[in-house]
Amino acid sequence: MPASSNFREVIRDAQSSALVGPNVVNKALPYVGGGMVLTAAGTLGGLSMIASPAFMPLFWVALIGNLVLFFVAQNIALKGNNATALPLLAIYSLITGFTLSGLVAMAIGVAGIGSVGTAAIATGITFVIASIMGRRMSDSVGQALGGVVTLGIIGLVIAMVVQLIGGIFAPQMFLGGGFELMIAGFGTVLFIGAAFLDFYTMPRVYQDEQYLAGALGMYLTYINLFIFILRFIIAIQSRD
Amino acid sequence: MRAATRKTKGAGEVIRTPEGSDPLESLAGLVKFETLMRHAGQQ
Repeated sequence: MPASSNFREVIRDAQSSALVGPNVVNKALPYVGGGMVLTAAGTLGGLSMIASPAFMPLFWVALIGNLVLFFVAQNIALKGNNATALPLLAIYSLITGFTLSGLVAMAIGVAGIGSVGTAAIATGITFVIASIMGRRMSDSVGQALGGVVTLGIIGLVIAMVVQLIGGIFAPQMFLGGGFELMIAGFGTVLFIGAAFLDFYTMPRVYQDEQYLAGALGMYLTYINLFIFILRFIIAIQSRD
Repeated sequence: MRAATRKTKGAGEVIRTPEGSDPLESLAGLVKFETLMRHAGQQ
């Protein structure tokens, strides 16, 4: 047997021993799916009352409450306190759906109902491919992708802050057209990368009992991907 | 989404640090918040 075979065996052993939660992905996936179903229900609920004058006040309460709930649920889930975290995550998913209804209504208005279906199918296809390829990712590729996604999301946040501030002074330049298209396209590519990365990092950073914290992270990635695909479609349609 | 945070100690021994809130995940939460906030009322 050549020496390189022993070397490969040692590397393989080292990689498998580096997993702190080998079953965390399989444990988390049903909760990610459940979160998506609740989100869809919340979106339908929001769309059904979007014409009501009560919608906007309720939207702001839901949006700010949801941000607070995210940090609370994340903290509890990381401690492995799943009995408390589960109902919080269910409420978080439902409220996220409600807050998504504004963007979904805008997409339907600008690009038709097909745009929402396209974004949902594209997100689903990404999930299927990522679940196959992300698990097989080597350490070198996974860590390199992790670095790229980390830098990318910091860049995205900076670009979004520039857009937010620039939009106050020059709305035509920052809020529509090329700048919005660039941010939406960059965000889409970034969250596709993050979707692949989730399947690599989850077993390496979350223990098996932290499956709800893993599910929250993965859920957030796919919701962001869906949002950025919708933004991309809206930006393209608005330019035409 | 969470970046693999780890410290290496000696040859082959890897200590993972899963505790604590993840800044990358928090940023993703803020990105979602910002998008939904900005598109509010535009529909």
